[in-house]
Amino acid sequence: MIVASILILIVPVLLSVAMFTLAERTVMASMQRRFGPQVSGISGLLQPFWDGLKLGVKEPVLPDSSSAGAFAASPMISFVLSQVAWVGICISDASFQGLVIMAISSLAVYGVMLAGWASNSKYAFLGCLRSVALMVSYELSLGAALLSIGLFVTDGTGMKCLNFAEMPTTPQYAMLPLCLIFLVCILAETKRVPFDLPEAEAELVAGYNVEYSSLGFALFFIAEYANMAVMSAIASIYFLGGFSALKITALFFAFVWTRGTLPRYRYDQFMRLGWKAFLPLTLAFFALHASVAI
Amino acid sequence: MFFENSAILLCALLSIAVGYTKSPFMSLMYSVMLFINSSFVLMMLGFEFLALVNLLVYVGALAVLFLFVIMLLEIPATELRAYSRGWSTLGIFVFIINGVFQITPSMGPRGIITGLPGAESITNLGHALYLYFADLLILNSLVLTVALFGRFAIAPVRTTGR
Repeated sequence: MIVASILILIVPVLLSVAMFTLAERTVMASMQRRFGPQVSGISGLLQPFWDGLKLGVKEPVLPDSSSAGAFAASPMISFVLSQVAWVGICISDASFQGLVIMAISSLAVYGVMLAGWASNSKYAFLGCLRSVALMVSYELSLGAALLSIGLFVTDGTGMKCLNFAEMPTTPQYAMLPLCLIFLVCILAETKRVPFDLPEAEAELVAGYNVEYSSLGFALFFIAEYANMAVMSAIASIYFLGGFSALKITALFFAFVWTRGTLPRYRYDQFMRLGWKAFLPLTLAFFALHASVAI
Repeated sequence: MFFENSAILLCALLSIAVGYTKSPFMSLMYSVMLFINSSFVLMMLGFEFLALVNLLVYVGALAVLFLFVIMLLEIPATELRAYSRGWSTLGIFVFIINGVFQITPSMGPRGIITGLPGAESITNLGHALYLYFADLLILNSLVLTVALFGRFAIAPVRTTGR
């Protein structure tokens, strides 16, 4: 029974992660006026599975000077936390659902940090430092945006809460500025373009996961896409009125659209944005919503 | 009851391990595990909000701050261990023996603590912590003061001229 409920949750998440990777390649390709994967399966539908199989049969290269425990543990931490976040959305009847997701994304910082530190390589370490700084900075604005939402929603006993069941089922246009800030903070939390300096392919040679090969890399990859899906789900629940596959897919399309359009922020630019632009803005919105009941 | 007791025992073991390991990184990792454990114990006691906020603040921000300090500054690990001279091992041994044979007198029962009816969990936590267990709280603060000032005593003295 428990195994059945685990599989019912994890198998669709992994399938959707696989399809997300294919969708990203196809959508990026059409934005760049070329074709995406088309060879394996009908219009490339089997491509993610062949990619996963390829990663699985590759030789795992374990660097000799790495710290073995943390090196092995960090892909596990990232992957498990992304699945736990999905459990937090779908199955939980806990009291503080939004806060659970925030706590899990705080823990996800450790997967990245341990990966970069344990790899014992300069590029990985730089990537890990930058991405930890990035994630911690943008989590603050994320939390402050959720605070503003929490001011309006009360649960059955009259306490203010962030539970998914009490969220409004239509898009709230009064929250539109906060929604835009939230979407940008989500881009930063999942380290997508334009915030992907920590894993910049050209400059840092894939950043913190440079020393990972085969399934370790695959776990990081799955964790990144599953995190993206979780954050899209949160954005659609809180701002766009409900958890629906169409809204999550539309948000994912927006993610890929941004990837195809924008250049990358430099380190000082995104730190400035996080601390000097978004944090004061979200705190000001919190003060506004708390004082004037809009 | 076994579950709660074993979680609290794990708390004690992790806090010993924080001071006992040679490398500062492992010490910090043990303290991260301790924070997660304390959040778990709080959740088992029914303080869900406090547990999640603990996770967010301690694990997500404070431990990351300490990790940045440790990773970016060169802290020689072996020098810190050289000052202990075996007292810490003796201390752990005495602690375990005390846990098994209960040599030192332990706190007696405090009677039934009635929480304020209808109050939120944090109000009841403050009620218990600051009224009924106030002496233990002050004792804890004394331990913290010793830790804060004791680091000056065990830090190696930098002689003039490197």
